[in-house]
Amino acid sequence: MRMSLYRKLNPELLAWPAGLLCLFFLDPAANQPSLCLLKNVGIPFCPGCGLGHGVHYLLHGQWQEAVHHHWLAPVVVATLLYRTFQLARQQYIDFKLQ
Amino acid sequence: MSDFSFAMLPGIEQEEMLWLQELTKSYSSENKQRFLALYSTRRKDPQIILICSLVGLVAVAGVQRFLLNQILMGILYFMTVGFCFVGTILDAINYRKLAWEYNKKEAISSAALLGL
Repeated sequence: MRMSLYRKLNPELLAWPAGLLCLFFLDPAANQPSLCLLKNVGIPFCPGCGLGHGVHYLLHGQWQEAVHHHWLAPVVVATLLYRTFQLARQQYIDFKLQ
Repeated sequence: MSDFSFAMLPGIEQEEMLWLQELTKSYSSENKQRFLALYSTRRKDPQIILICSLVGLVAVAGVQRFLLNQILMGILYFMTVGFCFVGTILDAINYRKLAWEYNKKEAISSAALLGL
């Protein structure tokens, strides 16, 4: 039973909320080493640069700061939340049918 | 039209096959054939999704999301190099579920389109 539950659960449903929570609690002002793989490898440019900080500030309610870091931050949060709810609904229907 | 006609769909799995048999249980043989013809053109092969997610590791990320009609997610994957590769790897692991989620919708809409 536990195995089948594990197999049925969509990993995406865990990944997106986990990512948002992670960004919520990571403080960009604390000067921690960057999580970004590209930056650590030594590639300085990425179209997503600043997105993590943007999402952090947005989740803390600082809209202007968020958009200043990356203009896509609100879109990211909205899309990930939408996708999470969509998956949660499907998962709920799946479990109810069994 | 035998019960095993669905088995010829590329990359089909047992769960999908049983679900389709359940869906088309009450259809006449002719309707079943029409449904299969329409569904097979709209369906996405899970293997294509896997290959497109793996392309994200070396080139453009997010092609799989565009194929699955998740345009916004596709743009985000593209802009962030697949959420720093995490999303790309996740999709490569999860490709069967992604494809099945899309195919289920397509099956229902093809049935609705044929008025079945």
